[in-house]
Amino acid sequence: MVSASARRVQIGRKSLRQRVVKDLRRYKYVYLMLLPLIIWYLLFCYWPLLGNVIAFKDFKPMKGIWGSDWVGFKHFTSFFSSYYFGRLLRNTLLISIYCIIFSFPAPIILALLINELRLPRYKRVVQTITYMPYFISMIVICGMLMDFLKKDGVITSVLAAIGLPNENYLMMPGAFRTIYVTSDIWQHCGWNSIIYLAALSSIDQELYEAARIDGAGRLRQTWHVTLPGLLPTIMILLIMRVGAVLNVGYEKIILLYNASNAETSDVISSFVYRRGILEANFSYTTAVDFFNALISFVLVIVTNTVSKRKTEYGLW
Amino acid sequence: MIRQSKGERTFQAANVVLLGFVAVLTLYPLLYVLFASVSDPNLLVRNSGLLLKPLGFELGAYKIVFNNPDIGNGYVNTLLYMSVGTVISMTLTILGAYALSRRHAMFVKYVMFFAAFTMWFKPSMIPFFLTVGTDMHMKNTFWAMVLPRAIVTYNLIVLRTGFAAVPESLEESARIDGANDFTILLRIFVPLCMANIAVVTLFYMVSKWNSWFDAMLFLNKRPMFPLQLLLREILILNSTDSMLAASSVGQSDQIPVGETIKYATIVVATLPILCVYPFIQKYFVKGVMIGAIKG
Amino acid sequence: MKQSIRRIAALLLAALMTLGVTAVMAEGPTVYDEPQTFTMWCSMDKAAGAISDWSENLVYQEMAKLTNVTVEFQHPPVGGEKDAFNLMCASGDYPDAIQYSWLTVPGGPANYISDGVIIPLNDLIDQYAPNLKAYLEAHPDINQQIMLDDGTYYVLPSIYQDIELATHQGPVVRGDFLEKIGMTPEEFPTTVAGWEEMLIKVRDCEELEGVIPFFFAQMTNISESPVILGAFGITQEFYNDNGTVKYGAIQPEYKEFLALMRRWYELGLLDTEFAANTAKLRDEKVTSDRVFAFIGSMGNSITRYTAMCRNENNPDFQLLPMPYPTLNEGETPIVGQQGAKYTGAGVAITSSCENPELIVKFYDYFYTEEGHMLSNWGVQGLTYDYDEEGNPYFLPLVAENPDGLSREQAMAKYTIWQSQSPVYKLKDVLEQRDCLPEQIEGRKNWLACKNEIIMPPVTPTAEEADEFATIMNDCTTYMQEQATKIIMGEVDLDEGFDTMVSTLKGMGIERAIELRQAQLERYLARI
Repeated sequence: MVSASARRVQIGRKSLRQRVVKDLRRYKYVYLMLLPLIIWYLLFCYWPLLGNVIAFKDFKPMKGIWGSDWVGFKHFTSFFSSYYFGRLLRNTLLISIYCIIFSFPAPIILALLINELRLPRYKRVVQTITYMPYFISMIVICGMLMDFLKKDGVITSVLAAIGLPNENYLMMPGAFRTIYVTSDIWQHCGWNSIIYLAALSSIDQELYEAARIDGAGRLRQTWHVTLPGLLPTIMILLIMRVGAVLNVGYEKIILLYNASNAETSDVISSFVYRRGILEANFSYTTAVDFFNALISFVLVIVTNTVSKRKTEYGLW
Repeated sequence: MIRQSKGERTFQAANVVLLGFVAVLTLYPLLYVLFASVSDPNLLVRNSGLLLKPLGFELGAYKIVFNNPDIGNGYVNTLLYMSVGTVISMTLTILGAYALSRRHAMFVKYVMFFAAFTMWFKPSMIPFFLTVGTDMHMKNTFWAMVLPRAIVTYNLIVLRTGFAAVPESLEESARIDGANDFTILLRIFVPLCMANIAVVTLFYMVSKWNSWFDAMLFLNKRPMFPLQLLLREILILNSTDSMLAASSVGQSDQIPVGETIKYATIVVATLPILCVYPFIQKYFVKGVMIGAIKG
Repeated sequence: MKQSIRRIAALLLAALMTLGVTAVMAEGPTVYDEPQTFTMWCSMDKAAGAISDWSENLVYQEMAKLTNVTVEFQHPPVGGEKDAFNLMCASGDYPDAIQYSWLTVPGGPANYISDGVIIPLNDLIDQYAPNLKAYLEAHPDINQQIMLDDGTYYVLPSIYQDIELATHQGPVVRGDFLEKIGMTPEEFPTTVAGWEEMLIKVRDCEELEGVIPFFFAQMTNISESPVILGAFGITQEFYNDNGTVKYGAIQPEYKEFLALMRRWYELGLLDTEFAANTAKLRDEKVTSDRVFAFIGSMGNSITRYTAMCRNENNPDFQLLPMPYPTLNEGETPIVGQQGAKYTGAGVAITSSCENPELIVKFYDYFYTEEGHMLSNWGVQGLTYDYDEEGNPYFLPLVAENPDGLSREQAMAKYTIWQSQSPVYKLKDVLEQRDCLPEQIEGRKNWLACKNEIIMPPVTPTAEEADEFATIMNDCTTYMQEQATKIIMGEVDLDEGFDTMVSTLKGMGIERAIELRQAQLERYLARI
C-alpha cells in the first residue's frame, strides 16, 4: 500500500515534471521572449518595491530605508483616525464612480460616432482635433475653468441665461463633481478614443457584410458586430479603470480646490499632498498608497473574476 | 430600402453636425493657448471671458522663448530620450505582449499576474529613487531617462489584447510550415496588429515627450534637462503667487510678458508631438485583417 | 556723507595700488595661489531664465577672479526645489555646501545637524570668519535668530540690513478712485469704522459701479497680512502675546473680526468670490479697474500693475500703500505684515565637505563693506555707480537691460541681492527696485506698526516637528473652511464660532500651542 501510494505520487510528480519539460520545450521561444520582461520587472519594480516597507517605519532621510525605526501601523492609524478620513474617502469614491459612469463610456461613443462618418477627410480632422486637449497642461486647463466658471464667466453666463444662479461655480460644493467629470471628458475623451478606434479597425469586415445580408440596419450592426468586436478592449480597460478607483490625481484637485468647495473637492491624494509630500513625510504617503493599492487590488480581482465568467475576457 | 437610406442620411447629417460641435469644443483650449501666446501681454492679463482672437499681436514671447538657451538644449534632449526610449520600450513590449498572449503556455498567466501586480503595488518615490538612482548608479545618466519606465504595464496589456485577437488558425498554418515564434511574431502578428502597435507607440512617445518627473528625480545637471521640465519651470514660476519678498516681481514693463511666455512655451513644447498623430492614424484602416487572411 | 567718504577711501586705495604700494587689506577676501573649488547645491531663484547656471553670475565670476576660488553649482529644477532637497538628503550624496531656506526644512534645522547632513559652524566661524563674527557680536538680535536653541550655528546667513526689507505687503488702495468719492489721501481713514464708511461710499458711488470695495484672495491672504484683523490686536494664526503663544482663530477677538467681515459681506463691501480668488483673478480684477482696496505687495502688485495700467487711456491709475486701520482713532496699528531680518536663508556646509575652511572664508568676504558692495550692487562702473551725493545707483545694464531682461532678472544675473546667498542685504537696493514716489512714501505706512506680537523665527525639535505638522494640517484646513462659511453667512455666527473653537480643540490645537510655547521659551533663552 505504502509503496503503491508512493509510486502514485511519484508518477504524479513525474508527470508534472514531464508536462513542465514538455511545455518549456514547446514554448522555449515564448519564455525566451518573456525573459527580458521578467528581468525588467524584477529590477525596476520589485526591487524598489521592497523599499515600500517604509510604510511601517518612520523614514528619516539620513538613516535610509533599512536604518529607519519600525513603527508598525502608526501611519495607517494616523490616516484612518484623521478628522477628515470619512470625507476624503467619500469624495474620492464619488468622483471616481461618476468618472466610471460618465467619462468611461464617452470615448467609446465618440469612437463609434467617428467610425460611422462617411467623409474620410472630415473624419481625420475630427479625430485629430478631439485628441488635442490632452496635450494642454493641467495648469492651463484649470486656469481656463476658473475663468469660465467665475461670476460673469462664459459658462456662468450661459447657465445664468437658463435660470441658474450667476455665481462662482467653483465656490459651490454641489457643482464640483459635475465640473470635475465634465472637464475630464472634455480633456480626455478624444485621446481615450484612440485605443477604440484602433480596435475598430481590426474588426473583420466580412462580419458586417454578413450582417447586412441578414438585413441588419446600422444600429443592429453596431450592436451585433461592432460592440462584440470592441468588448475585449472595453472589458480590459474597465477592469483597469475600476482598479484605479481610489486614484483621483491631486494636481487638478489642488488647482481647483478652495475653502468653500472643500466639502466635496478634498480627496485622498490632495490630502496626502498637503500632509505627506509638502511635509516630506514619505512614510505617510507610502502607507496611504499601500492602503489604496490594497483596496484597488481587491476590486480588480473581483471585477476580473466577474468579467472572466461573463465575457471570457480578463487581465490574467 | 428607400426609407432606410433616408434614416441613414438623417443619421449621417446629425452625426456630422454633432461631431463638428464636439470638435469645436475640444479645439477651443488649443486656440486659446495659441491666441494667448501672440497677444499683447497687458491686454491678456486684463481679459476676462472667451478669447476669440488674439488681443493685439505680439511675437515678443516667442522671441524670449527662442532666446532662452535652455530651450534648444531641452529639445535635443527630449528628442533623444524619446527616440531611444521608444525603441527600447517597443522592443520589450512587443516581445512581452506576444509572449503573454500565448495562453496555452503553462507559466504565462503567472507572469501576467506578476506584471499586472505592479500596476497597483508600485514602488513609492523614495525607494524608487534610492534603488534606481543610488544602488544602480543611474543618477545623472542617460539611462535613467529611458530604462526605469521602459515598460508601461497598461500598454503591455493593451497590446497583448490586440495580439490575442489574432485568429489561431493563422498561427497554426505557419507552424506547420516550420516557423518559430520569432518568425510568427514578425511575419504575422506585427503586420496584422499594426493599428495596435501604432497606438502603443503613440502612447509611449507621448508619455516620454511629456515626462518630467523622472528627470526631476534623477537629474541635477541642467544641460541634461528635457523640454518638459523647463516648460514646467516656466508654468510654475508664473503660477506661484508671489507673496514672498524674495519673489515679488520687480520693475519694468516687460514683466507681464510672463503670462504670454507661458503660452508660447506650451505651443513650442507641444506642436511637434501633435504632429505625430496624423502619421499614426493611417494605420487605422479597416480591412487590414481581411487582406491578410485572404492573402 | 558716509558713502562719499567710503568712495574717497576706495579711490585712495586704488591710487595707492596703482602706485605700486602693496596695501594690506584688512577687509579683503582670502586669496589662494592654487585654484580652489567647492560644490554647492542651490536653487536658481530669480535667476531662472536670465542665466542657466549660477557660475554665469557676475558676483561669482568676480569672486573667482579675486580669490581663485570657483564654485561648481548643482541646481534643482525650479518649482521642484523641495522635492529635490529631500531626495538629496535621502540619497546621502551631498555636495560641499547647500544653500537653502533652512527654517522651512521638514523637521527643522537641528535635525539635520544631529543626523549628520550638515555640520556645526561655531569653531569655523570663530577661526575663519572674523567679519561675520564681529557683526554677530555687535548685533545680538541677529545672533539669537541664526543660532539653534543650544547655541549651534548651522548657517552662513543672509541678513537684512533693515527691518524695512522684511515688510512688503499691506493694504493697497486705488488713489484715483479715492478722488472719485471725494477723498484725498490725507483724509484716508485710520480706523476700521472709517474704512467701513469709505467702502460704503465706494459701493454707492455711481462712477464706480461694479467696483469691488474690498478684495482679498482667500483666508490665507489674511494670514499673510493681517489687514483689518490686526486692528483687533491678533493675527490669524500663532502670535506672541507678551511671551505667551496664542492661536488667533480661537480668540474672542477673531469672532469680532468674523462678525465684521460677515457684515461687510452682507453689505456688499467684500468680493462675493473672495473664497475662490487667486493671484490670477486679482491681476485681472485690479488691472481692469474693478477693485478699490486690496491686500497687495510692493513689487508684484504696485510696480507691476502700475507699469501695466498707467498709460494714455488711464493716466491717473495709481495704487497707494495705505496704513493698517485701528479700532480707535489715534492708535498705532498693533500688527502688520513683517518678517524677521534673518529669513532662514543661507549656506550650510555638509558632512561630505573636506575643506570647510575654504567655504567659510569665501563667504566671510560678503560680510565686509567691500563684499557688501559686490554682492548687492555688482561691479562699479559696470553695473552700478555713485551719484553726486555718493549714493549708489544701478547703471543701464541692470536698470534697463539691453538684452531685454527685466530689472529683477538683471539683478539676479549681476548681483546676488535677491537670492538665498549669504548676503548682507542693503536697504538702498530695495529703493532702486521699488522706486515709484508713492512706493517710497507709502512704505512708511506699512512700517508704522508696533508688530510686537509677531512670532520670532523659532525652531522645532525633530519629534515636535512631526506632531506639530500633523495637528496643524487639519487645523488650518478646517479653520479656513469654517471662517469662510461664517463670513458668507452659511452658518450662524455664534454657533459656527463655538463649533470652530471646539473642533479645533478636538483636533489638538492646544497641544500645538503648547509646542509653540516651548519653542518660544527656548528661543528667548538663547544666549
